Amino acid sequence: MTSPFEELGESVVEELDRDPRVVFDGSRRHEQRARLIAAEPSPGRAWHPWRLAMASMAVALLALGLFWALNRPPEPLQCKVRGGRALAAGDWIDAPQGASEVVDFSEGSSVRVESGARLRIFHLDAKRVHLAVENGRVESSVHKGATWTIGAGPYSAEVIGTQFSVAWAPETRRMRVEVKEGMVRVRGIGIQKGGIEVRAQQRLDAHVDTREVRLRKKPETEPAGSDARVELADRGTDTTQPRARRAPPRPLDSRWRKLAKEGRHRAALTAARRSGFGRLLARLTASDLLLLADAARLAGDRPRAGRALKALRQRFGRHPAAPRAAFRLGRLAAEGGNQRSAARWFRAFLAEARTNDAFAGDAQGRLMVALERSGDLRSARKQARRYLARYPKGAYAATAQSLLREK
Amino acid sequence: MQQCQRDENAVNKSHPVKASSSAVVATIAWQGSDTELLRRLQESTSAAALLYDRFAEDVNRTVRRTLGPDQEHDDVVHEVFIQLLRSVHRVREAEKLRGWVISVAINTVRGVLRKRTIFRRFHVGKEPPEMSSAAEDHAGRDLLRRTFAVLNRLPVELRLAFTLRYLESHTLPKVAEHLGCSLATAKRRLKKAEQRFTALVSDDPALYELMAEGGRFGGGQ
Repeated sequence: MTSPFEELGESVVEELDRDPRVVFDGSRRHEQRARLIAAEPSPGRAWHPWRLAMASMAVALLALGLFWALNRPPEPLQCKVRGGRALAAGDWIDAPQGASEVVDFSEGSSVRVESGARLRIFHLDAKRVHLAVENGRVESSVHKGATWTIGAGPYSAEVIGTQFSVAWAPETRRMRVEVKEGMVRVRGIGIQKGGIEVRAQQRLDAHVDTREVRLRKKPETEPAGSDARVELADRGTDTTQPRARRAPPRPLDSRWRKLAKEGRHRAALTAARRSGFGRLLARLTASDLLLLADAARLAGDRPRAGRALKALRQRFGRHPAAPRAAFRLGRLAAEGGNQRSAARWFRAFLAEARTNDAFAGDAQGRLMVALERSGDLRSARKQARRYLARYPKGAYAATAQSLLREK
Repeated sequence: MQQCQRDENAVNKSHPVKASSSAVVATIAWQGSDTELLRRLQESTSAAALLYDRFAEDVNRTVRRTLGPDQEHDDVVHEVFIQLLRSVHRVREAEKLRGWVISVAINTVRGVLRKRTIFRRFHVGKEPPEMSSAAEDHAGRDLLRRTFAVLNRLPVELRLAFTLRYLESHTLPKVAEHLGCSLATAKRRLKKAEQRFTALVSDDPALYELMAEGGRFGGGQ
């Protein structure tokens, strides 16, 4: 039995097939054929599946190569102590008394660490070199290329292809930069925003406590290799009148530092408070602020520890110690029960620190715990997966696994 | 209701009609096997005539039955053959050549119908003039016009399912194959098309009457 639609279809087809508008007769055939022959396109090239696959692979490889070329991480600079061991970021060089050490860099630069001086390598890759003079004098001969920064206490010297020396005396808190060739830009306490340019044959002296900054011509008569440590130590009795930017403030009492280094944290904190805690926060160097924060934390004064760390981050935002301060702030917040704040600080640390930072794993684990405790289970699990992928046998691996199992 | 809509973009206009019937003295349909035809189509640079001679009838019928009496019929047929010539290298099995030709024709019609739907929705383009028909049978001509007027109001996929099943008389698996969908989807589309068609016919008393006259709705209303 035919359906009404089939019956309708039959009638329509019958009409259609004899409709002169579309009927397929001889003249229509000739017209269509002639038109097609006149317009015959060139046959398309056969794209066999294997050719398509090869082409796709080639395109993918090309894209991968391009991506790699554009985004490849900079080749790390190699550096080593002349005639000695290779060095990496985090290492330091102590020159013994009476002898100097020379550090050679693979791109041709060299740094001489003079007798009794200590130089720390903070960062090292093809684009950026960050060194810090912790004590004494270093003389650098820098080739153009990477951005060189040499820190000295609260000061830093940015280098653009030059020969110069940086000296730092932590006891007297004085810094000196002397430029032989090229130019150096020095930034730090008492120096106007944007820094001071120290050019060839100029010398810059700066004092943390008095905030004196003095730029003058380097004395030509000065014997080569004069002892900078003595020079810097003697600056207090220098007869030349420094250009005072303001009335010299009261020198900082450094007893707290001694006590903190001896592990007497309560006494160190008391000394720091007597010396004026706020004043210390405004004037201490980054490493001293870390020391002060640790002393306060270990003495049980979390708020003051937090203040010191925040002051460090505020004043030395780009200092290598800034991420560490974030980590410590995270730990303080977690200890104080403020898990959201802790998570925020650990995230800040992870964003700022190098991926291979010694605290990176710990921070990832602590971030996961803080997220879980703050009730953000989704982010905590995400963080747990990330942690396990990177540290499958890490200290927080069991916590991460149990967190994922709870799902 | 318009029987058909003009769509100036629907077909390739770069090849104007050359009414040169004198250019072709005689045409003899391809007598060899599809395997041989496919080989020649893929190797020859002048395969248009071979392809046309073999499939002109199939393509014309498919376009006629799915698109209806359309003033762009020849342009659509031409476009189908152009598409066939451009993609003939993709065919691997000669026994599927004819099915592939029909599918390309259906796809081309689908493209034309979709463009017309879009143009109609945004009121772009002119209404095509009513094509004069020399059909002597007035009732038959009216049936044709009204039926395609209803089909024009169906969504493209439903319309194609309906025409392939009831005008081309394809089996359901064939309908599914030509539409490039599963059998279940083809069945579903056909059912929807029937429902919509019935609803639309009830809005057109004349067509309803025409169909009733022929006893198509159970004979006799």
